[in-house]
Amino acid sequence: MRRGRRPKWMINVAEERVNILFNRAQEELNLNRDRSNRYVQMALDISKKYNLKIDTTWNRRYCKNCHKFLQPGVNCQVRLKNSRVEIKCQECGKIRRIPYTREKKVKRRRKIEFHTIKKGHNE
Amino acid sequence: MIGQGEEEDVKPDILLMITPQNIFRHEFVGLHVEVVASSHEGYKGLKGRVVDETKNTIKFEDVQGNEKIIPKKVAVFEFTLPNGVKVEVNGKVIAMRPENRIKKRYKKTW
Repeated sequence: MRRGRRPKWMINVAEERVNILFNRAQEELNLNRDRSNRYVQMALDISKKYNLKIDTTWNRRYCKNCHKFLQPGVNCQVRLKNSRVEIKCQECGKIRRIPYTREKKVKRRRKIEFHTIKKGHNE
Repeated sequence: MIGQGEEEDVKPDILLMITPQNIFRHEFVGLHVEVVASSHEGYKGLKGRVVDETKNTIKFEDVQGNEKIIPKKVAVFEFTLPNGVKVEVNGKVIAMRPENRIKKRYKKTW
């Protein structure tokens, strides 16, 4: 065990708990908003203690500024602007920008390759 | 078929994850709990669904929708796991912060 690194079984339990807490936060969103935000806070506390990354399913579902649970169409706004995903938290007004230029480049390159190979075959 | 696939992602996981061996380290939020014994008579027999947890207390919601806060150290709790198994846990063992419970080394008491 390196310094700061936890053993594997601890990380497994912690990942399961984070997953459970986010599921509960989703269930409680419309019933009790405070409780839902509290579960997000608890999940983040666990992830900090055991050096976990939040899974991609839940990564964009909380505000990095005010730590509240976000539901698109209820308390957050999702837009595509200038090759970026913009997620605006309606609670605190913070905008999170996630670029997707790399995906665009890969797509363009694949398109060019496809056409050049096809021409070669025909000749 | 599509509906079944969606259910398999979420539900069986939760059923398998929490076992009587790792309930000490696992998540209490969402489980059903009952106070089996307590040094204070009034706490005995209270039951409900756990909604919150701190270092020294456990908060649960009973059938009428009232929130009850109970200190951990004076009580013995009985948790019902998602697959129906009941486990008794002494409150003294779980009296620490929810994120610190994972790393604590316990003496075997089961």
